[in-house]
Amino acid sequence: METHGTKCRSRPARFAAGLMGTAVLAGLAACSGLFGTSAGLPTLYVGGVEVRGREGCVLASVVDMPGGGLGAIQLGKVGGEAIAFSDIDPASVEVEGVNGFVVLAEAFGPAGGAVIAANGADGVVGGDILRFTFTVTGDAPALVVTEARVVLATDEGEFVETWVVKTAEDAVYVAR
Amino acid sequence: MKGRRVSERAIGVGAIGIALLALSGIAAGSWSAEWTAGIALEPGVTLFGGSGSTLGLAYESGPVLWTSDSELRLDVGYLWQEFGVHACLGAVDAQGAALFGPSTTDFLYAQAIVALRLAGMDVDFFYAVLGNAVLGGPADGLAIRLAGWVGGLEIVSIAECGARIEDEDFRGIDIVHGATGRYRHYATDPVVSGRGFTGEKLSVSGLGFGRVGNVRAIAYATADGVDFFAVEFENVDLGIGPIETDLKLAYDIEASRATATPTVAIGGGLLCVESYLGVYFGAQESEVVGLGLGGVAVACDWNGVAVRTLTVLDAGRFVITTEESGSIIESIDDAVENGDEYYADYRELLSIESIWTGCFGGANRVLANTYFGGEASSAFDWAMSSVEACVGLSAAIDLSVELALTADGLDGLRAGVTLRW
Repeated sequence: METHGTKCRSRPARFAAGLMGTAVLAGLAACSGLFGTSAGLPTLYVGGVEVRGREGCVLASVVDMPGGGLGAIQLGKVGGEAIAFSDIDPASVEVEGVNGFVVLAEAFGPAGGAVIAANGADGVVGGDILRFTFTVTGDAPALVVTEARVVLATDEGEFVETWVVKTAEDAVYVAR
Repeated sequence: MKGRRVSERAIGVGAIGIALLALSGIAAGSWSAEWTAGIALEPGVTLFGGSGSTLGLAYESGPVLWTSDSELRLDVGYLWQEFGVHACLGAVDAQGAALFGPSTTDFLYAQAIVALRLAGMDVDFFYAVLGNAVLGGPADGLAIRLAGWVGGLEIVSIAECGARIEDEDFRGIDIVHGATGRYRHYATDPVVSGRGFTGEKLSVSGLGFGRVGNVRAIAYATADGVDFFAVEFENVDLGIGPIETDLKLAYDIEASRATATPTVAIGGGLLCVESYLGVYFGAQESEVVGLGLGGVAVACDWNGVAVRTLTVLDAGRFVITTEESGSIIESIDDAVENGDEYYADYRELLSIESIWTGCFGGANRVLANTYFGGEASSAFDWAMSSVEACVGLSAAIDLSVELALTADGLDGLRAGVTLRW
């Protein structure tokens, strides 16, 4: 019985030692950058409309922005609006900056919306940048961004040349 | 990127192996299961859109517990499959989980946590990988948490190498299914751009003096410098009968944001009043231009019935979070930063919850939440009410009903059943 007991203790001990070794090796490897992830394509993510009561909300965020992060964004101009919407009251749309972003100019009307925002502090490499809130007027509220009318600039003062827009339909799963 | 795909494939193959091992050992151990199915009506959204089913399986073999959780929805199909393992071997407690989308090629997230208890010291290793099928990924990271007593002080150190872990100040990570809002919660959040050292959090407690039972100091630093610090004064005896207070002062250096949260507890927690104060800065960070009361929470817990009211007094800066995000008062900045969902147009919440053991031996629960502030035309500015009721017919069967009403009428109705065996 004693021998059996000794075996039982030694087996878990070996397992624990193995786990410890694995954890330490994984930690050292991670810290040394072995699992370091290469940056993906810079992405502007425009989330789906989340409705709470009569108010709707859309979050715009970025992922893998180069050059110290996103420093400024222009979403169209008056007469060439980058933001189109449906089942949303244009007069009720409000935009606020997130993670240090400040809205410099905005215009919303029946033709769509335009926004210019910049970050006065550090750029945002990955995270939320703008939050749109509005009154929902129908069953299928939507807010869509036209990629061709959007200009992105880095914290280092350079334009982001290659990037993509993703929406809630493109991104089935989101980390939050 | 090739290395990443190989790594994910290895994780996928590993998870399948774990599942096969678990299945091959079914005859030797004991297993249990829980199945929940519900049908939901969501007028104005998608009829029966919220209908779905979750199945959880657990297999226990000696000190090792294997688990499998899967979820599907009627409107969008299969959401995800999670495999998990938890082993407790003496001073070592190890657990791991891997989450996949509809197929094993859709690797979403994996986490491993190993906790050691060594000579009065807690040493915890956290490691997590976020797949590139998730917006925000790919990413991976490691964190090491050390906790122990030195003299009369408890010192907790969290060293972050590309990952943050859940604690009182950080809520971990949610993997959210965008179309349905369903989510899986985990403790380890791998930071996207994290390589090498990314942060260090240090907390020291046990510094009681005078009428202050305990003082806890917390500081968090990243590679760019100190990010935030906070001081909590706990169990402050004011010398007024059964009244005891806590006070938490926090300053976020990066966001130049300061908050104070005084809490007053009466009668050993029977009645608790918590207020949320915001400190507002001017153009210069050193210039304090005002102190505002953002909201007040009052909670009373008596004989199995919990009554809670939340009142937002500064609607421009504070909000009430949704039930999924804890139904708390939080500044908008914190809510956005923490990824918490909130009601932007509701100013007050009255919540009543009761839990008791029913006639059939199962646990019964009723939760009624009523929100005010959305409709100026309705009585008392009533905006929305929701009721959740769960009746335990036995230890093996629960029935549940959820109902939500707004000023426009029925907002949602859901009925479900949970079976355990």
